[in-house]
Amino acid sequence: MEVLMQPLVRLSRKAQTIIIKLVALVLMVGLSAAAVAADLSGSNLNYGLHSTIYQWFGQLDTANHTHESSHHILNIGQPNPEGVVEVKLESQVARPGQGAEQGRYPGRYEERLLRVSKTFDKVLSSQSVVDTEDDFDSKYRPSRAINLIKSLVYGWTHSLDVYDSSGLQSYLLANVEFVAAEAQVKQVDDYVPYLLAQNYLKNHRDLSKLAIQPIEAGQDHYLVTFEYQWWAVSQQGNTEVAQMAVEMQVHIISGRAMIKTYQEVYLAPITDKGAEVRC
Amino acid sequence: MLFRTALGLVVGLLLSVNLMASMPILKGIGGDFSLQSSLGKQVSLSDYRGQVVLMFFGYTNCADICPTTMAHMSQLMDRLTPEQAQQVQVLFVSIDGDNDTPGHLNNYLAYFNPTFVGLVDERHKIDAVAAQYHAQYEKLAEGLVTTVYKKLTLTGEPTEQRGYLYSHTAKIYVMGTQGRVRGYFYMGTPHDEMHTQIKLLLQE
Repeated sequence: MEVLMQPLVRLSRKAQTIIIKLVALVLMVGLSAAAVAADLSGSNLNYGLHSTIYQWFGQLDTANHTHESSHHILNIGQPNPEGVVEVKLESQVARPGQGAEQGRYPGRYEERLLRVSKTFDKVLSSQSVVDTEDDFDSKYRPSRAINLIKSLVYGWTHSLDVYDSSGLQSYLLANVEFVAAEAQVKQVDDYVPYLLAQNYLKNHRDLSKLAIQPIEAGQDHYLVTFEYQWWAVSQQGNTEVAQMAVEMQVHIISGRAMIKTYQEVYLAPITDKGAEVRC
Repeated sequence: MLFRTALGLVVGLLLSVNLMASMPILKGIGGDFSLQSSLGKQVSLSDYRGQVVLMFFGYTNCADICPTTMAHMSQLMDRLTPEQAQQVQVLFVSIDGDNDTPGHLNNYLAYFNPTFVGLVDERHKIDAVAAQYHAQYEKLAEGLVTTVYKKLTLTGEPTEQRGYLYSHTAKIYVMGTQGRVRGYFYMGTPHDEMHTQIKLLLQE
């Protein structure tokens, strides 16, 4: 620090004060920007990447006709500069006659390196680096629907965050019933134009409380609910926040989860519970 | 010496970062409305564009949280400069349209601060505003009321003359100069914090 300060010592006291003030100003601007960025970072999930990887494993689950297999993703890492992502998962294979007596099957723990495209929308290759049998058996837990639906939810969220209207459209069944939280958004085609019209500097949704329930046994129809903590920064630098609940009816058709109904509502902001109701 | 000064400045700046953050805009809550007021005329939230509005849902027969909160806001107003005070408006929305009248509200609020404005109207209009702001209120059944105040009120009185209580949202809604909900104050929010936030909102 002494070395750093030496040039300053040779300056007049007034000049030193001015330099310190300038440094302070630069720091202040930097820190304020960092504070806003930290506020908006929320979860660091790359929704586009997650959508692609869940879809890939969902299709892997779907592809085996001779036996059932499931892939339960435990963790998706950050892609390195070469576009390689480490995925940790548990897998199960339910082959006829193997463990069927007890209805229990051995599980495997896997680590795979998936190489993805630059835009994270395709898995280009997969390399297994760890594939070991777990030391316990368990009932077979199917994962196809869960993976495909998670792919849908992450992909939908990604499309909203990056204003991708065609991305949103790609998840909708014909004659979808669509209700957005904003009254101005009458149909899904209005959603991205509405967001663009707000001129936000930044716009991001944090996903939470995802729940998937089959609607009817034996059918590939599911009720999917989750919440968004939505953040945006306006042109004026104000942070806007909203808590939203989303409910979807999802049909799985030809290896893709598609939206049959979509309803989004604003929730009351989370506040001090003790102040909610008094007498 | 110089190093210490610079270090002090940096630490001071680090500590001030949080204080500088103004309240976020809350979406999905709030919006304009019009109700009868203690001013003897219809008042809309949009009438106060350019001012910070502090809004509270309560009723004049409330024995505890309402007068305490109004007193808290009255003390806050006393801390503001005259210029700031002119840019801050307290609105008291009565949830008790059966008993509170504009005149009654005027007398009640004048006790705390003559600039406070009371709003009361037909039940369905109050309900609509409460729904807009996710405010809850409910008139309590006699049997559920167990406060000392209530017991004292009820002693020896016939049923039809008994007092009543509402349970209700007890937060203070903070609206920025554009009429959008920016967050909440509570009866326990320190005046310094309220003052700082109001100053930030007025600077926007």
